[in-house]
Amino acid sequence: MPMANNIIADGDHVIFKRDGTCRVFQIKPDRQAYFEKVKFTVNDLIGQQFGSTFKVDRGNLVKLSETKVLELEQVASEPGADNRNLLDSESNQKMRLEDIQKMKSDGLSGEKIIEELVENSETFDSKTSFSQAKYLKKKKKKHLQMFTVLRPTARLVMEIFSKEPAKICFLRPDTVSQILNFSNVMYGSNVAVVETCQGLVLACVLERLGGHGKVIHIVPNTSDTLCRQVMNYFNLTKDQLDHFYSVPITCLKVETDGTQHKSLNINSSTEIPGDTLVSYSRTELPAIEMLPDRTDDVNEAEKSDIMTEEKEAEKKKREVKREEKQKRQEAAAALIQNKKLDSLIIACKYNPLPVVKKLIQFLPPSRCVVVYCQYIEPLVECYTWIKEQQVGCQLKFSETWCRDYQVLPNQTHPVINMSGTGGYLLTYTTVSKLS
Amino acid sequence: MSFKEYKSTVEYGDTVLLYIGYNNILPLIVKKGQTHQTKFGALPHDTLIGKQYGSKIHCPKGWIIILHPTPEFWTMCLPHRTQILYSTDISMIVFQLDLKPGSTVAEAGTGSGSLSHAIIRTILPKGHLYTFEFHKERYMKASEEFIQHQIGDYVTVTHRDVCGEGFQLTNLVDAVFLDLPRPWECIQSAKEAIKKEGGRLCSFSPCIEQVQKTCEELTKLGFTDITTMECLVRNINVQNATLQNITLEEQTAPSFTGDANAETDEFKSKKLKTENADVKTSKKSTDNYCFPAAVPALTMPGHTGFLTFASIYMH
Repeated sequence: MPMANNIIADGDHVIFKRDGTCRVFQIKPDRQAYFEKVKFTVNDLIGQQFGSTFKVDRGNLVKLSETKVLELEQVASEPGADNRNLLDSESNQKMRLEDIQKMKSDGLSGEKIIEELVENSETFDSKTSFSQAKYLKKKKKKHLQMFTVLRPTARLVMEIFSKEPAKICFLRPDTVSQILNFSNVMYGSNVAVVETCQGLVLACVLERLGGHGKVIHIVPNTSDTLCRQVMNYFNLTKDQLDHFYSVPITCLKVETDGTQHKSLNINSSTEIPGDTLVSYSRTELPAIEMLPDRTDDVNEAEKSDIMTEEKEAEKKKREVKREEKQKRQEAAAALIQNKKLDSLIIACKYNPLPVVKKLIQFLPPSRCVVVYCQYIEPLVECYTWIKEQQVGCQLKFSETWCRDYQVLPNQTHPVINMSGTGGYLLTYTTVSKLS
Repeated sequence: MSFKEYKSTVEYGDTVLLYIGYNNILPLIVKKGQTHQTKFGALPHDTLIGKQYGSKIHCPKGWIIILHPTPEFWTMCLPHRTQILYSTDISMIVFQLDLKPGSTVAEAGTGSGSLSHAIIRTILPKGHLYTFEFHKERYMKASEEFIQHQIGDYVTVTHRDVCGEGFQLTNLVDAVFLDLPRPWECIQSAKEAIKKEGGRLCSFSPCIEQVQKTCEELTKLGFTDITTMECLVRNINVQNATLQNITLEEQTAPSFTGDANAETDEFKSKKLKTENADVKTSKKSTDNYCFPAAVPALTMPGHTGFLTFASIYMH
């Protein structure tokens, strides 16, 4: 990859990362960011390299050199043996809150403050090396406002949601990773996705296509407010987004004559009723905001009667856009109806079985289907139906158990808290019916 | 074109998978004039030509399904030359290493090529995998397989012990994967292989002592965001389960003039059932509770290995 690719630019989404905390932020001149209780302007980030670490110094960003970063990570120690002589008392720390606040307003560095805190702590020296390290870690978190700016990746975006998994249907990195692998998504695949994970699954699939193939978001007819916010986080290029399509599930029609000929199916896709198209364009509105001026223009045009010509032009523009959308939708529907799909992924809050029943009719044999659900019961139904209908083989129903470890000299153990569930997965491969 | 992209029908030279039953899949290279013996009888290769992938093939004593190969299927049926990585860990590795089309990756050792296939699938066509194997036979077998599977263009297999001799790559890869007995010995070399703008590293080790040493070395060499995790798959089976309902109250003769109207129907239906049932079982006044049950497997692999991931930013 060329180095130019590694420079933070105006308009980019970036990830602020500090220990276990991740936040996504869009870089815009003079924008104020608020991360881990610190406020700062992001101007200084433009032109910097991804992977740089910064310190916040009174609202300004100071870039840290690599050696400096490492220094701060090191832990000093001349430990005590155990904690038999430690008493929990306010007098252990000689410095008072006012002292610390004064040091801060005097512009003393975070390192200096921590040094002072350690010096004025009666108990620090008699703490064990473990608790010394813990103490320093805690103080560092409070007084050293350091973070790294990273290019968003699927992995980092998952970290953002680790504290609020409900927003993405309780998907966990291990489940997302299995969805992507078991669906055999690769460069050039045509993938149909049913998801209500704010566009996370769509973005992950789009990333794995490498700018070839198609991702088709299959949406319910009634949904006006489908959110694909997460797709914005990935800084997808216009070129990549050209491979993204959206089709209401109601537009997909199965050939009823039974002949499996591969002729172009344009006729059936142009027979889409008018109201479907209207609702389609509505579902498109909250999607990726490629054209931010759109809604503003509409309002202004309505207000002013004088600018009728502009209004007309605007109307035409919208008409063209709508036609464009309709064409794209028809193209995607035709692709599905011509059985050109390579993978089907379902990860949503809809009842999966009816969706599975409808969509697998469009899959050619020997293709991968992955159904994810946060609950086990709907997948039990899917499992039973697929087995009975013999529409697939290598039907696999599973969940994953995933545990993090703390690895430190003489204190390695599993992390105390772990995720209890990452949802359930059903995977299988389509087969042609025995004739 | 086998693993590289989907094709619809079988041709000579293809690697096809014979699906005989659940978790029973055999790889087969389709060759003119040859015959394969399955448990359902002889299968002449020529009969497969022109057949659509995913279709059922009749054998003398049953039928099998021919499937298009995928890295996940390959992991299930590849010839084991070593202990291999399975799809749960593989998925996590590919995801946590931030792999996507265009990524370059270094892998040591190649082993049986289970992970390699999944990596190549994800990074092709512009990415590249540099994989290293110190065992000569395994190195040769893996090289052959990649060519056979038509993914040879995306991988360079090298016969070398990276622990002693290093990767000998500089500022080239986005990610490094280590599955070695002493991974800590080649982290310095891995760091040199990773692009200056930064990258990811993963080490897979079955023993915690290995993890301990690896993490120490990673910290020493300036790697950050070091995380260690364990991932296990719990397979679930769906069965029709039956539990017996027992009588909770002392039985009184069913009275149809009883006070609870809701119960009346229940009694009626029970009465009907009892009448229809065998006279001998008429004594049984309880029904069975039947339901579709999601049953986890009775035994499962409880350990595969620890996955340690780390980042190195600009270096």
